[in-house]
Amino acid sequence: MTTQDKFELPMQVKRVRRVVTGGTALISAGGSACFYYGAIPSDPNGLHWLAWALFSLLTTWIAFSFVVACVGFDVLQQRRDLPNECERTAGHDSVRCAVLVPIYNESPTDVFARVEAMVHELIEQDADGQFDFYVLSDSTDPAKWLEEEWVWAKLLERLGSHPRSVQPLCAERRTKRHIRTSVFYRHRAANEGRKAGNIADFCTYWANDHQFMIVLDADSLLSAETMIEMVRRMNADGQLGILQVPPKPIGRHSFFARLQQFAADVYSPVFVQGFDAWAGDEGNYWGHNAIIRIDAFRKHADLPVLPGVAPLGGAILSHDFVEAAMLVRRGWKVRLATDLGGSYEECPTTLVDYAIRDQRWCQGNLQHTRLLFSEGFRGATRVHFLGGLMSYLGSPLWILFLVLSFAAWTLQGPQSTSTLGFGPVMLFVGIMVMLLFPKFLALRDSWPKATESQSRGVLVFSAFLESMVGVLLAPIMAVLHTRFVLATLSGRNVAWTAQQRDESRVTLWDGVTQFGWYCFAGASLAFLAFSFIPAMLLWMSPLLAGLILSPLLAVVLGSRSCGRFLARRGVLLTAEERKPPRVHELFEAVAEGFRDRTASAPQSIIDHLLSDPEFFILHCRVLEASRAGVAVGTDERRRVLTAFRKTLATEALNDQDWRVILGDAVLLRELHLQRQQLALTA
Amino acid sequence: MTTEQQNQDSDHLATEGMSADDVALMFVSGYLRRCGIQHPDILRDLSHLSVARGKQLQKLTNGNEKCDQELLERSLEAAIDQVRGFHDQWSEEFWAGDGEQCQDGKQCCIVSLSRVLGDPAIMRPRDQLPTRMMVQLHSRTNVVIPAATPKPMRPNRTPRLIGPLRHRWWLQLACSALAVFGLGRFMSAGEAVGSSQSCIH
Repeated sequence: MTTQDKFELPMQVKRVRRVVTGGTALISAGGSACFYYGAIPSDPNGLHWLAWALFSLLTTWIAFSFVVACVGFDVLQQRRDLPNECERTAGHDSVRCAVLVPIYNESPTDVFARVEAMVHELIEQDADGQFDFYVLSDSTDPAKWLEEEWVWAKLLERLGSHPRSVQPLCAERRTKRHIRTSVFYRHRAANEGRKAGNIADFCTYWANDHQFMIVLDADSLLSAETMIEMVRRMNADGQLGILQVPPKPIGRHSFFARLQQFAADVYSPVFVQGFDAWAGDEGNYWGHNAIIRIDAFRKHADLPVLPGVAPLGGAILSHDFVEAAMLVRRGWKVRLATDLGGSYEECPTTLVDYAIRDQRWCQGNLQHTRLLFSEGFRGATRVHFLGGLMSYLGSPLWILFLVLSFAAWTLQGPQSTSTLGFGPVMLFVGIMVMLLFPKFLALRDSWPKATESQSRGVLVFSAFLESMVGVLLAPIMAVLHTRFVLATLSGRNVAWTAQQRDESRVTLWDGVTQFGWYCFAGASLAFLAFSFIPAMLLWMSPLLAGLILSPLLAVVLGSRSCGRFLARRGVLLTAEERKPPRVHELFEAVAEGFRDRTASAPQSIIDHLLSDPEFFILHCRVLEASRAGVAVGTDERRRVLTAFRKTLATEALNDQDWRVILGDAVLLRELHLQRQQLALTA
Repeated sequence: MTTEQQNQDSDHLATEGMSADDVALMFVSGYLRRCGIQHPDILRDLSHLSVARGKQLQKLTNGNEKCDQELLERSLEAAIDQVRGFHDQWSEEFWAGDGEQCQDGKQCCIVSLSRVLGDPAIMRPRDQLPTRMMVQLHSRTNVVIPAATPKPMRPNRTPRLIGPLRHRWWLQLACSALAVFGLGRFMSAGEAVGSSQSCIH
């Protein structure tokens, strides 16, 4: 089957789309009319018209989200009244599903702890025969690469210690049994095509034994029950190309992370449900925590290269949206499994981490501009592309709108300096309602779920706190996104003074160096507003407060102790914090064990490779099995050997050298030999 | 300590009354011990074997057996290859015995090889290996990744832009408009231009 028959959208989806389109058009038209009558003077200038056009565009987008959330709330209420018809049966052992974990310079212990946790839970569910894990490494850091091999070998040792048996961590099942899940590892010589290329490489060389693949991120966790159900649904519907299970951020403790986790726990369901009701079988893929039909993917989802050069041309960076779009246009279904839980990920813990991630996504989403205006894609797909685009373009457009409005007002003359008119106030109120009402609906949906551990009062306070911080963060994010868009379009990168990968705290100095300019800009704007248009100061105060307080906000939001303090009082508590998922408990236990075990691991892993014959042999075998061996040229070999022989210390060569050396088993043997001679002489 | 110093040290040992063979044997047995082999008989046999191979290698490359340092290096090389050879042979044999998945042995590895090598029973022929050893080897043999069976992804062309964003589309529109007014020759000229640009998306 090369191309599926075009599927017919169900009546329900068509109805929802009519409601969403109608509602969006109505609100947008109303907003535009209000702006026209309330904010545009009788003798408007050109800037007024530009501001009006921008306002209409931006209101349309907010209105769309608002209507989708309302639909989502309605669907959730209806579903609550119905019995749960979700039928879950045991998986079919005959279908082996590949679970892909593409990694790139991640923490090896965390990655393999997650894999081990998932394997243990599959064993507990007696479903280990159905899944094989493939850890697909693209790591370029030589130390990380070797650490991955080291930790992987330790994992195999544990899983294989006793005759191919394991003692599951659960207390209930203490009998040793045969493990039927394999944890494979391969390293790619060059990370061509990044993550998308990594997965395509798997599809090209190793996918033949599997019908489906579950794609994970390095920080993803899926419960066994969810994995089994994903496979069952793919089996049950031969037209289903991708099934995406919305991931929930869990497991982080900083104030900022807990805000995100709370928002995802409480607010996401209404949006995701509404989005699913609107998209139907033309849904989207978010790059991980999804199951994919390999045959369809291999035939239709190979990524094209965009004409032109980066930032908007070249290899596609945000591959997930495009892969989903290509499957949908060939008649495959792409669905969102809104009723499935057990899908988790981790979120950034500090403002800077969040910004760095957003910057990466920004370029990818801006690249979709071309695809938005390309032939062959379905309407819903174009809206997905537009959504991704607007999540970054929205901020510069709002800033542009504010600047235009201010300029238009200045050109108009100082007749209304004392107060804002009724029209602009009502517009502001209207926009705020559209932004905050979905949160209210989400809160209403969570109301019955509030338990004693999180009373309803605390739930409301948590939502209030989240909204207040959201208001303060909005201008910071707007400026950040604007910088990202401008930097991307000009082909530059925004440099950051520091990057917090783990949950280490943000010092006040970090905050000042990272957000000092925001503070300065906010204070300057406040001074200007106070001097020239004092009436606007009150209205601009949330915006200005966010900018002025940004260094302090960065410190407080990155604070783990602040997050824990709130957690102890039940504030921002999520369902997963109240009752941790089994797979996460397993992960925590395994990660703790990993930390203990790797505490005695070699300090310099490259040194260890040269000194330990066992590790050397393992590395050579991984190289051979992964087909990742690349012979070093004669001149380069001579240079490396000369440099190494001088001191016989690994520091004699840099990371780039080691990256090349690790791929050449013959050269590595020579270095191993030299090091052994040194050790034996000593 | 640099290579020159190492050479001096090994030469120093040789001048202290140890022959080049003895020095090579000492180094090789040291290496094998680091690999986990502890049993004295096995250690002795394998060390001698490595040095003998080292001599052969030396002969093959240099045509003489005179250089002591060369012998040492070749013997160590032989020892490294020998241990790797054990690993490869066992991983292939013991995976093939699994029967679950027929794999190319080159895709397999043995984890904690030193512990396996530490068992003196391991050097026996396979049919004489005690069950304990068989089980140990079997449990430590794992597939790194199955053998690759290439099946390329079908490449996709870049989807072309929607009509109004392509100049050819406007050209064709103009041609059709001309055709309406009966200006056929302009149309055919336009089509010719259009077809010559058909590769432009």
